[in-house]
Formats: sequence, structure tokens, C-alpha cells
Amino acid sequence: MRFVDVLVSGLTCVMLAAGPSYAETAQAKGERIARQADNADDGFGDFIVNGEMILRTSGGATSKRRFDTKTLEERAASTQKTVLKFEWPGDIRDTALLTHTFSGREDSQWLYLPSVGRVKKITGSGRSGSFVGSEFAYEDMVEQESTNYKHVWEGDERCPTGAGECYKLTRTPRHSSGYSRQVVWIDKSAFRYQTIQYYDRRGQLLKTLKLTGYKKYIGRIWRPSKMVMKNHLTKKSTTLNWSGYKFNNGLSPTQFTRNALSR
Amino acid sequence: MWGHEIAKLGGTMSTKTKTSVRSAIFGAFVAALAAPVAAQGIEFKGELSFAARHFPHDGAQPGQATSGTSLITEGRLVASSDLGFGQVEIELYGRGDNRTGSEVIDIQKAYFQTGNDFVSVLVGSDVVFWGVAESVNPTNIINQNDLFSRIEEERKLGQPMVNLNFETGVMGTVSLYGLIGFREPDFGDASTRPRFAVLPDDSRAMFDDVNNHDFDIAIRNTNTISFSSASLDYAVSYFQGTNRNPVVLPGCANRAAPVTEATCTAVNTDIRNTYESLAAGGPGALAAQVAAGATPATQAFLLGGTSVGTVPYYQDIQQVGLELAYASGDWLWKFEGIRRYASGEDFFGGVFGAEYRFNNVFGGSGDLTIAGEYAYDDRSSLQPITVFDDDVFASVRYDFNNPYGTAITLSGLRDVNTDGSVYNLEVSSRLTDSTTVNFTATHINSSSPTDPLTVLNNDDFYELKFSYFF
Repeated sequence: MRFVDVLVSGLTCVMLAAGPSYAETAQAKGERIARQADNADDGFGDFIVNGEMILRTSGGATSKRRFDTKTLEERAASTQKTVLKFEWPGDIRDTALLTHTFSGREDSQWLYLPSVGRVKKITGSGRSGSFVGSEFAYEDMVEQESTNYKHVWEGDERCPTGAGECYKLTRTPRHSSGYSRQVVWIDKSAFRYQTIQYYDRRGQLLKTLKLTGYKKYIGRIWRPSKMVMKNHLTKKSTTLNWSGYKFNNGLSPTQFTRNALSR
Repeated sequence: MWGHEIAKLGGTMSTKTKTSVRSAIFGAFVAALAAPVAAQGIEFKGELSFAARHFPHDGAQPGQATSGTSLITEGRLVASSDLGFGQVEIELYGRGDNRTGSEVIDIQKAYFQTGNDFVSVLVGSDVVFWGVAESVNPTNIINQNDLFSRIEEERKLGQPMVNLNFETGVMGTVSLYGLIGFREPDFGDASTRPRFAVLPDDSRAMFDDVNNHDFDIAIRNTNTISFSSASLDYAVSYFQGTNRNPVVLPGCANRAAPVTEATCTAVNTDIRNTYESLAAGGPGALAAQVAAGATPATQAFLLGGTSVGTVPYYQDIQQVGLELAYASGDWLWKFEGIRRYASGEDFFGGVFGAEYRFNNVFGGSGDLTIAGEYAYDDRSSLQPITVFDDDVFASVRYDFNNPYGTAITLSGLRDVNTDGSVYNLEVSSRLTDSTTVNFTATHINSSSPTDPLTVLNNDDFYELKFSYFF
């Protein structure tokens, strides 16, 4: 199966390499590059990872967040299911967030509140809010599904992170979002998101995210080990370190139900 | 959720907790299961809080603490271990109040759990939450209530059980519960604040199901249906067993000489028979209906006044519940309702409401969530008292979305008929990554003699609480 995937995406690359001669529009090229980035990331099956966030105020004070996540990809339904469980700070310890992400549809989300053993459905609109007081919004934390945006290719340039040549795209959200648009840099060598600039609803540059320390897992899936989000308005920043990636854990959809969240 | 507490305050005024012998045995059983593998690594975590709660008014009930400030100490300790073939979790909770003497020590959780992708089994004590609403959760019936806690909290006592969960895929999750041992609430002491107007004698508790009141069963099916731009959660549930809230009946209580045990038993047996023969919709208060229907000997006893008091009566009930939560865009719509079959009648209790969230309001990064609910209940006077018979609830919450997790919540509940009302303000914030501070102010305003909330009219309070997590 995986071999077929690689073969297909390889063929796609070959075909697309010939693409520009058909005078592809900037929109079509943008969509194609975003899809290729999707394809490069699809087929991971499942993975678990630990996250640590370090929040820095403009004055230099720091605060930490620790959590672990498990993610399952359901290819038939093009659905992703994620459970994020907090370890720290103490007052939100064992609080867990279950998200079902659908391609081209609004997400479903539930919050588990351990003090009362309650699983509460929450609206998808919470996506634009800050993730536990950090510079990341909830929507910045979810997987980059290309179908959730409209893309336009802006040009090719050196990646801001120094990872060689990048495609530069502008993407506008198709669903409710805290942003009017984002500018993304995707590297040409492996279609990895390198840098994302977030523009607020008034069109002002709000934040810049840099993804670095990419490592390859199960032979083909790239994952960053460090994500740094800088807020240009408040001068605050959040560093998100990912560690302990494990793929192919044999996770089952039944571990991503409302009932399983409270266990 | 805090409203639920008020409902129970009106109904039972339970405060202290007795850890039943059965649940202690159950806990010991689970602990014994865990012991051989203790060496495999046990994770400990917990929290400790200190609160100062100030009552500006004297208690309205005889013997209740006067105005003044209580110091409340609260603690929680959790030990968990992954055994490889399953998990063990033990959670102890305790709380004490220096002025009222009220205290709670409870095994909230003490269970062993194992399973595979399709079925899981839990054996031991656990706390299970059912419901979707914010003001009151009529479907939430697995655990007994612990009500000494702050009003907006919904604290429960651990319930010993055997729980099976089946993940069916397209039909969602089916959960079966065998609830072993009935945990009576403790009605507190005369000094307890807040408490019910009467203190039922729980040593004379009576059960509808005489022979089998401490084994109950429950089943619940939960599932989610997704639409293109919305999703619906539903849950249907069924409970058969002993009602968690008692009916409070007049009778022989706190017996003292010259009343003999035989007289006391005869009176309460007659009271019980009289209550069970009553039909819903009778005139006057329940106590008057029972007294009017009792034998002349019992009537004479009640008029005599010696050893006359109140006793709790626990009905055998069947209850069907439905929960719906529909999320679309920034809206969340909720319905939660029950049909309960108890003591010669069946009645409906339910709550309907909506929640709307404004993101990044006031030009900042904060979120504003507003919620409104309406609760209705058509039970007769034969049933345990509820505050939520015809009530409107509203709340506004502002989350600052800052690194301290600061939030302000203002909520209110108002009875449509009696104008009895409760207002609650809570401000909470993290101080460091391991400490938090909470301020709560609760104002109760109820003067109608028909509103159970009136009992709490003097129980306004302000509370400042510091918590440490380790």
C-alpha cells in the first residue's frame, strides 16, 4: 500500500513537473503545491507525541505547558481524530480535548473536565481562541488540511528557515477562522511547511511561525521537533517542542470516542 | 452546573459523607488487586486548597452557625498505575470546615480497568457524569451528591460499580452499569451551612425496595451524528433502582424515652404505608397529606411531639433519560430530559438551552460565552423537592485567554413563579503554574414560602480560595 502511495505521488510529481508548460494559473499552482504537501503527509496511520510549550512574555517571564497527543488517520473517511491530554499546569492536569477533523467539513470537539468527570461538547468556533494562553490558537495546532483553504502561488524564494528553496503561497480559510489570510513557505525538496505568517481579520501581520528540526519517521513522514510562534503586536513568543514521536501504535477509532475520552 | 447543587440543597441539604462499609470493602478489594504490582511504578498527584468563606448573615435555621468566616481545607490525592494488562486508579478526597464542623472523606475512585478496542471493563468506585446542561442535570443519577462543596461545583461521591462499555462503531458506545451498594447522603449537623430546614434521622431511613435497595442497574448509549456543517451528540439512558434523593416524611425520629422502639417502628411503618397509598395531586404539603391519611394512633403520636421529627424515604424508581447537544458554527443547542416512574406517578423533568461564543471580543484576545436555559419539572408534592420546577438560567463568561487562564463568570437563576433567585460571581486565575486563586460571591434572594430556595435566603457568602497542585 505504502509502495503504491510512493509510486503514485512519484508519478504525480513527474507529471506535474511538466505542468508549468500548460501555463498553469497561480491559483491552480497554489492548490497543486498544497495538495502535494498534503500527500507527503498522508498515510501516517497513527502517531503519539509529547508536547512542551514555553510561553515567554515581552519582559522575559516564562510559563510551561506539557501535554501528550495521539492522532489517528482514517483514510476512507479522510478524517483525523486527535486526543490532546494536559499534564501541566496542575489546574488543567488530565483535562483532555478530543477533535474529529473532517476534510471540507466543520470539526467536532469535546472537552473532558476531570474534576467532575464530564465530557462537554464545544463549538468548533473556539478554534480561533488562544491555546492555553499561548501565542498558538487552537486552529494553529491542528493538521494542515489543504481542503480547508484556497491557495494562490506567489513565487519561489529561499526558505526563511534556511531549508533551501521554498514555494511561497497565500492561503485564505474556507471556514470560520481568526485570520483573514496566511502566507506559507513550503520547501521544494520534501513539501514541508517551513514558515507561516498569520494576518488578522484587519489584514495586519499578527504572528509568524517557524517550524524547524524536521526528522523523517517510518521512512517518509516528516515531523518538526520545534515550532516557534512570535506575536508581532505583543512581542510575546511561544516555543513548542515535540518529542517522543511514535508511529504505528495500532490505535483504533474506538479510542477516540466521547466515552473513551473520560477513561 | 452549580444549579444542580442548589436543586439538591433544596431537596436534601446533604453535607457530610459516610463512606459506606460496602464501598470501603470494594476499595480494599481493588487496592489488593493493585498491591502485587506496586513495584511497577505508581504515579502520585494531587491538590491542596485553603479557603476563607464569609457568611454576612446569621444562619436562619436553629443551631446554624452565625455570621462569620469559615476556614475550609480541601485536599485530593490520586495514585495511578499502569499494570500492562490494565490500569488502577485511586482518588481520595477530603474537606473540612472549622466553624460548622462539617467534613467529608470520600473514596472518589478506586478502580481497576481493562479492555480492548471493542469492550472495556471497570470494577470499583468511580464518578460518572451524565448530562449536557449547565443549570441542572436531571439525567445525572449514577452517583450520590456531596453538597457541602461550593454551589457552582457539582461534587459527587464515589459509587462502587461494575461497568462494561461496548464500542459498536456505527451505533456508538453502549455502557452497562451494575451499581453495588447504595450510598445515603449525610444530612449534616444543626450547625451546618447551608442545610435543609429539617434534619432527617438517617438511622431510620426507609426504602421503597426493602430487600434489594443496594443493587441498581443502568444502561446508556452515546453517539454522534455528523452533518455537513454541524454535529449532534445524543445519549439515551435508563436507570432502575434507588433514587439518590430521598422524600422527607414526618415520623418518629431521634427516639428518646418514654417512646419505645416498638412504638417508633409502628409509627414509621404506618407513615410509610400511608405515603405509599397517596395519589399524586393531593392538597397541601406532603407532611400534611401523610398526617391526614395516617391511623389515629400515628396522628396522636405526631401531635404528642415527643420523638417527632423527619425520616428519609428512598423511592424505587425507573428513569428514562435523553440528552441532545447540537453544535453548529458558534452555537451550541442543548436538551436534557427525564421521564421518571416513582411512587404512583410518572413525571417529566427537563432543561433546554443554548450557548453562544463570541471570539476575540472587545478588540482583545478574550472570548465571551453566553448561555441561557429554561428548566421545567412537573412532579407532584409526593416527590423529592426540586428548585428547578419553572426556572430561567443565564450566564456570561469571559475568558481572558491569557497565560494565567483568567476567567470571570456571572450567572443567575430565577424562578418564574416565585421570583426566588440565585446570583453567582466567580473570578479565577492561575498565580503560578502550580497555584491558583478563586473568588466566589453567591447571593440568594427568596422569600416565597412555597419555594425551597427560601431556606437558603440567609446563606449568601463570599469565598476566597487558594489551591496548590503537586
